[in-house]
Formats: sequence, structure tokens, C-alpha cells
Amino acid sequence: MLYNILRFLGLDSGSIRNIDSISLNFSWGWASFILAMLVVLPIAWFSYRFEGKNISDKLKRKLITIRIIWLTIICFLLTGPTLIVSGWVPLQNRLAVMLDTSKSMSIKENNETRFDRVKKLIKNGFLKKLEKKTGIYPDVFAFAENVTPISPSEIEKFNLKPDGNQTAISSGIKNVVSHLGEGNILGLIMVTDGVNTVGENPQNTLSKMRTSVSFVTPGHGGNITDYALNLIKPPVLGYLNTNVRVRGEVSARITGTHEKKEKIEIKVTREGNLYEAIPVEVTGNGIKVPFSFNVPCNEEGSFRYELEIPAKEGELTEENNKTGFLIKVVKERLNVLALSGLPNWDMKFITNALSGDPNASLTHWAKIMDNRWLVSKDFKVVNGETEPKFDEELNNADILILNGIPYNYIKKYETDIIKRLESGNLGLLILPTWQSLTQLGYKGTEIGNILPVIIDNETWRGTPGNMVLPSTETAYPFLNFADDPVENIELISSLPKFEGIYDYESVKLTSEILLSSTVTGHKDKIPFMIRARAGLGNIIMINGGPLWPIGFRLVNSERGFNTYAGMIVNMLKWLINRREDAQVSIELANSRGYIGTSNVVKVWVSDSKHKLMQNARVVLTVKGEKGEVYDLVCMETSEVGCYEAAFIPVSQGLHTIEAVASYQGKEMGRSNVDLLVETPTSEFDYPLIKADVMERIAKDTGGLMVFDDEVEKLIDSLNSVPGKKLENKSIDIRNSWLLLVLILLLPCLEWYFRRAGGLS
Amino acid sequence: MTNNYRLFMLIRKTLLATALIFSALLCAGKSFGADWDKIIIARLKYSGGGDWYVSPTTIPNLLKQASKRFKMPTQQEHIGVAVNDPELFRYPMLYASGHGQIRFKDNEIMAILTYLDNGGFLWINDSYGMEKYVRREVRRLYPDREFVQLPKDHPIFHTVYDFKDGLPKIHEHDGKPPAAYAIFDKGRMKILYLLESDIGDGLEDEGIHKVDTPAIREIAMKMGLNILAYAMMQ
Repeated sequence: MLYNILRFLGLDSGSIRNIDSISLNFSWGWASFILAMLVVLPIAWFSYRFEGKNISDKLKRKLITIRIIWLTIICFLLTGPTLIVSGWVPLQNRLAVMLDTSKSMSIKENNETRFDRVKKLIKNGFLKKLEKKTGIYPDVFAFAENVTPISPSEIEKFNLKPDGNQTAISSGIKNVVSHLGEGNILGLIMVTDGVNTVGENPQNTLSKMRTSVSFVTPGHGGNITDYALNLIKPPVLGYLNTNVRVRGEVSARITGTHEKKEKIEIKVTREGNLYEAIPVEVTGNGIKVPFSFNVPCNEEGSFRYELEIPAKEGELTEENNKTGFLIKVVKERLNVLALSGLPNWDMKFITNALSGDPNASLTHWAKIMDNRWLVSKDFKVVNGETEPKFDEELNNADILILNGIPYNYIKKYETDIIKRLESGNLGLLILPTWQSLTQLGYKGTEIGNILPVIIDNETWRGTPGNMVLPSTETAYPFLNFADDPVENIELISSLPKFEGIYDYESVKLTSEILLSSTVTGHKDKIPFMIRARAGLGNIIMINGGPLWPIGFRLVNSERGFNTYAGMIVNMLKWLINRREDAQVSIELANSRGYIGTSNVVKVWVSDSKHKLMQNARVVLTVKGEKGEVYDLVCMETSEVGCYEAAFIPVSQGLHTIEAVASYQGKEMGRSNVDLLVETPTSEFDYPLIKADVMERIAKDTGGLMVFDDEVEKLIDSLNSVPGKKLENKSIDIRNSWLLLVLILLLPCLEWYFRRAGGLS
Repeated sequence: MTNNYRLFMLIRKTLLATALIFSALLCAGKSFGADWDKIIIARLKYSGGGDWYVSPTTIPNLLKQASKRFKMPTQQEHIGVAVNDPELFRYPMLYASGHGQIRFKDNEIMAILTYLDNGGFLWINDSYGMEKYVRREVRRLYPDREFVQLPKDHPIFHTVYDFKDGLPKIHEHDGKPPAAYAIFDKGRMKILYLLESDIGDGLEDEGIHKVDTPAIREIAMKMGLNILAYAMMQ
């Protein structure tokens, strides 16, 4: 009743329909209203006493009444009146049921898949029983990597399939809760096996939820037979005349055969031909057994390697019995020319690191006095010279290291350096020295302009610091010292400290910080290692140092891996082996992709002068192994000359991606790259039902974990009466249309009476 | 006189202040280089009884001249470091000198091998009577390797300054010709041993060894600088 009256007056009480009480409030309190009336009413009264014309008492009373009412309303409105409406609103009137449609739900138990059991559960009236108990028909969702609402008619047909490649439990629950509103949910019931493959750990993220999460587990685990083959960071690039080590793991999970050993053979094929057979002994308890083999890179080109283990009868899935990788073998190009303003320990230890690589050669010139240069060729010191000529060495160099060399010594080679750099035939490494770049004369020069930083306000900060990897997963292999990303971050941050670092005005927008530092500069943490592009060439600039203590103080690890030498040699190799095509080049983060997972393809376009181009049109044509063809148009990115598209494969096998770039209708060039697509098998990595995890989440959130043959227990535990809560709402009376009408109507009425009485 | 002096002092102070302000203004906004990574050569504190601390001015004088002639940032100090000291790896170049016995303890062998394998360089200057001990200790370090005598045309004698006749003789010991020996590994010189030359004495302060004329001291200095340059370039 009250709700309807308020609505009639044009006042909205929101979700409060059962109004319990109403009170009137003033923004400035009751006193302000009374005070306003005490001022206004006597004035109104007296003003009528001095009416010019004779007026009947009846009319006078009428007019005074109208004016007093009008003024009262005005005073009333001026004091900010609000109605405080208090009433009961229904709470927890929604119930959510989430059905897991990921591939792990296709695991069989007694010849029946987990998803068949879910189907049976729904067909047996699980949803109707829930409605009967709570009075709420549940909102049903299907989830795997994404969440999809399911309508009652779709539930009736039940055409769902367990084909999701990943399971994101945390984000699935969060999406549903935010969609329905946390306060409105009576409960959330997940029908799942608890296998989470992506996103946050549900145990950590959901424990503090206010919504109770309950689980229905389809089956008790079942008999599992599954072999799994997995490669650990398969190689992408190999250098000619070297070997690349490939590492992987194989496991077997066979119910009831925990400790029983079994011999299986991993068949490795290279371009379809048998390359190697690796015998491995596994036990049925799922323990991963490592294996490794060498891939010789004795010819240039791309080579496809496939690995396979035999399938066992009744195996859960055969998709994880094979895997593969694509390796691109490139000619080793590591002729390094280093120019130093003075001999120093940094270059000495870089020389030592490079000397360990049989394919690297180094020529190092160091100016010692005005008329004397020291020279080291192929890691051997030779007699000093008075007038060095770098022309020939520069032409043969793949990498140029500038190590405190004054600009005037390389001025005459500057154009040549830039040209070779932009054409992708030279990589540039800038090392810090005791003289700043401005002191060395690089400010305002062509070389100075292509550096990753703006050489202004160059300040030396003599604060020791550590290197910091800015992201968990670095795309740069030379910064990956450990397989585990967290271990890698820790390893980098524990390297010997540097003594100081140069702070610059700013890092250019197109540059990328590869390593940050713990030293704070004039803006933020000062970058330690920055990368920039110059045409098709790469530049790496190191701002802090010295670097040599890393090479000197670190002894070789147990794995026989020298962190420093690995970083230096791989960084230099990366610097030069980046680009492959003159005008159009494709950058793919990995040569291996997965069905249903997005692969970002970057295409770099430059003109015939190797200047990166804007406003080009770049089209990708992707050809699959089975003859399927897809066309994708790349979007221009904020980086000059870079165009990007995302390709989501739908089938497995080798895919060739061809990029064609055109500008104003004229083709600029084209480039190809291969992508090996595999079916993701992470859903089968942990095929057991994770009852313990689900039980813990249910307990933490006030829910329950039950098996599908005991759902009645769960239904009984649900509170059948939806709750309600007392809510208050403040309504501004000034929004009432009735008051507006009165304010307008009363003066009109007064005017009418005055006119009828002959007063105006 | 007093007034004139005061006026003079006032003008001098004003000029000095102006010069300071002017210099500060000139430097404002300019870039500064780094005061870092100074070249230090530490002396090896070895056991055995030999006087490892002999000629304390040798290394400071060498680094002083490296700074003066090459404009190298150096730390011109007499710093001693023991083989087992973790600080050993702060110094990529070590200098060992003395008279008499040098001996590495068993647990020092691995430390010095790690130092040399990781890129360190050891220069041994025989001031007198060290030969048999040096050879014994080097054999303990590298049982499969022998000292190689450096020929006159070896780059160490020709990097910065030319020594056509090879290692110069600074001090007369037993009337034998000066000789430079080295241990190489994968083409890199790890240990340099100078015998019957005593470059170290020639680098000491003027007047310590009266027989060292300025010309002889200059020769020693040039050879010392050649060794430093070679060690840093290889």
C-alpha cells in the first residue's frame, strides 16, 4: 500500500516493496524548517494588511491561505526533506549450478564417463529437487575455460559435450558470482572432478568467498590407464654444426599397479623417418620419468620432430601419447667486433665467455694511448698497433660491441653501421663504462639517436643494486637460466650486485626493458638492460655494471652450466639471428601452438630503405596440414612498423603462416613461418578426482562436497527458506511530481482569485 | 698595507666564489661519468714463510702510472688478499712476490684453481730464491702442465711498449739472463712467472734501490704496464 502511494507521488523506494516504516528528515534539521516558517509567515501576513484596494474578508482569507500554503511548501523544499523508507528485501533468491564440460570429464569409470554420470544426475531430476527444496529454480552454467549460461530448454535436450581444453575453476566461480550478485546467491553447486588446469589455485582464491560453494563429484575415481608424454621447453632454434639437447618426461598412471615397473619405448621421428628409439622404464603410480636426446643441427632449415609412445588398451586418451616440436636451424653467425675506449675487465670476461663457444670469433680493439691500440684477435692478444682500421672487420662482423669508445673514432663508420644494423645484418651491444655516452660524444649523433634511451640528463647512480626480471615469463631465451620461472627470477636477482647504473631522461616508447634493477632513479626503478630495434636490427643496451663479477665470482653450476657465459653467448646469438626477411618478417612467440589457444603473430614491415612502415596492409594466410586455409588481417600496433593478428588453431598438425604486406596497392614483400599445432593434453595430466581440494574449498566456504550418488545429503543441507534483510532507503522528496504541480498551481490559483476579485 | 691586504683578500674571495658558481652553472644539466670499477691489483698473501709483503710501493706505483699514462681509473693501494679469502674474487689480477718459500695449503689449491679457471690472472715476480718453490707449487696446481718460456716476440713484450729483446733485466741476481715463463690453458695465460728480472723492485719508489736509475725504473714501469695491458686484453 505504502509502496503504491509513494510510486503515485513519483517517489521510488527501489527494491523495498514491503515498507515497514517511513520517517521524514531534513538536511538541515527540523529547526531550519521552523525558523524559515517563523520568518516567512509574518512577512506574508503583514504584506496582505497593506493591500491597496478594498477587499472582502472572505477573499482575503482565501488569498492568505493560498500564499501561506505556497510559502510553506517552498520553505519545506528549501530545507532538504527526505523520506527514510525502511523495509524487508528478499535475499539469496538465486541458486547456481555449474557443470564442468572440460575434457577430463570424459574419463571413464566402469565404462561410463564422468560426464555420462552428470547427464544421469540431471535426468534424474537433480535441478527439480533443488527447486522443490529451496523454491528457487537454479541458474545453470557450463564451464571449462569459459562460462556459458544454459537455458532450461537446453538442459532438457542436454546436448553438452566434455570438450573444453582447459578448466578454470576460480575464474568460473568468480564470473558466475559477479553475474548473479554475491548477496543474492543462496548457494553455488559445482558438478566437477576438481581438475583445475589454468588460472589461480582455487584453494587459495576461493577460501574467503562469502557464497557457499558445494561440489558434486561424478564418480569416485575409477580405473585409470594412461600414458603421458611431455616435452620440457622444446627447442625452437638451433645453430648449424651444434647439438641441441631435448628434454622430456614420460609417465604412466595405471590403477592397481603402483610399483610395478614397465618398459616402454619412445619413438622419435625426424621429418617422418625414424630417428631414435629411447627405452624408458615407468611405474604405474604416475611418477614422471625424465628422458633426453640430442638433435644434431647439421643442415640449415626447419625440421619437424615427432615423439610417440605406444597406446595401451583402454587408455584414457591417446592424445597425450604423442608430441613434437619444430626446430629451425640457422647458420651460426657470431663474428664479434668489440671497440673499447680502454682495456677493462668487462670485455676481458666477455672474451672469456665467448672463447668457450667453438663457433664464435672475436676481434677486440682497445685504445690505450693516443697513438696506441691494443688488439686481440680470435681470443689471442697480438702486438699493438698505432692506426687501426676497422673497415674490413666491421663488414664481417655480426655483432658490434661499443664499450666506451669515443664517438670520433667510429664517426666515419657510422653510416655503414646504421645501414648494416637496419638491414638486420648487424646486432649492436652497448656496454656502460666510466665515461657517460654524452662524455663520449654520442649525444645528437645518428648512433645516439637509435639507442633505446633518450641521452638527456644522463646521471650516474653509484648505488649497488641487483638485476630484476620484470615479468615471470621472459620471451628472451638468454634470460632463462632455470626451467622454473620463479626459480629463474630468484636466480637473476641473486647474481652478484652491480656497483652503479646510469639513469637517463627516459626510455623510448618503442624500447623494451629486459631487465630492471633495484635502484630507484629520478622516475622509477632504473632499467638495467633495454632492447630497441633499428629497422630489422636489434640493439641491447646495458646501463649498469660492472658485469664481470658475474662471470668471475660464479662457479659453474652442478649442471655444468655457466650462467654468465650462457647469458653472454646466447644474448649475442639472439642479437643477430632475429630477422629473416628483408622487408617483411614474422615474429611468433613459439613455434608450437595448441588447439583453441591464441597465438599472437607479429609482422614487421619496412620499405626498401629498411625504414619501418606505417599504414601498410598486412594479410596472413594460414594453411593447415589437412588443406584448410584461413585468412587474417593484421591490425597496426602502437609500435611503428609492427602489425599484429591472433590465430586460434582448430586442428592439429603443421600450419604454415604466410604474411603478405602491401602499401597503396603495391606488394612490399612476404614471409613465411611454421607453427606446429598440438592438442592440449593438460586435462589428462592429473586424471584423478581431486576430492581433497574440493572438500577443503567446500569446508572453507560453508558448502559441502558429495559424490553423485549421495546428492540428497547436499539438497538437505540447503536452507529451504530464502532469507530477507532489512534495508533502508533515503528518498528525496524534491523529486515528487506532485510538489512541482502544487508549486506551479498555487500562484496560478492566487492570480485567478485576484483577477476574479478585481485586484489585478 | 693592512687595508690593501684586506682588499686583496676580498677580491680573491669574490673571484673564487664567482668561479665556483660559474663552474656549478656550467656543470648543471651536464652528464657525469662514473666513479666505478677501478682497476685494483691485489697482492697474494701466500704461506710458506716468504715475505709476500715485500716492496709495498710496487703496485701503487704501477697503477699510478696506468692512471697517468692510459687514463685508466685505478685504485692505487697496497692490498693483500689470502687465497681462502672470499674477497679474492674481487681482484681479477693478483701479484705475488718475495724472497724464499711460497706454499699453498691443500685447501687453497682448489680455491686458486677456481680463481684461475674463472678468468683470474697471477703474476709472480721472483725477487730472489723463489724458483724451486714456485715450480713445485705450480706443479701441484697443474700436474699435467709445464711452464712455457715466452719468446722475445711474444705479444706481452709488444702490447704497449716494444721490448725487442724480450723481458728486460732490472736487478742482477745470479748472473743469469732474465726469463718469463707462463702456464697456458685453452690459449689463455693464467700464470706469468718472471725470473732473474725483478720488475717489482724496479717499480718501487725512487731511492729504495739505489742501483735503479731513472732509466732502469722507466724500463721496469713500461714492462709492468705491458703485463697489465696484456692481462686485461686476453
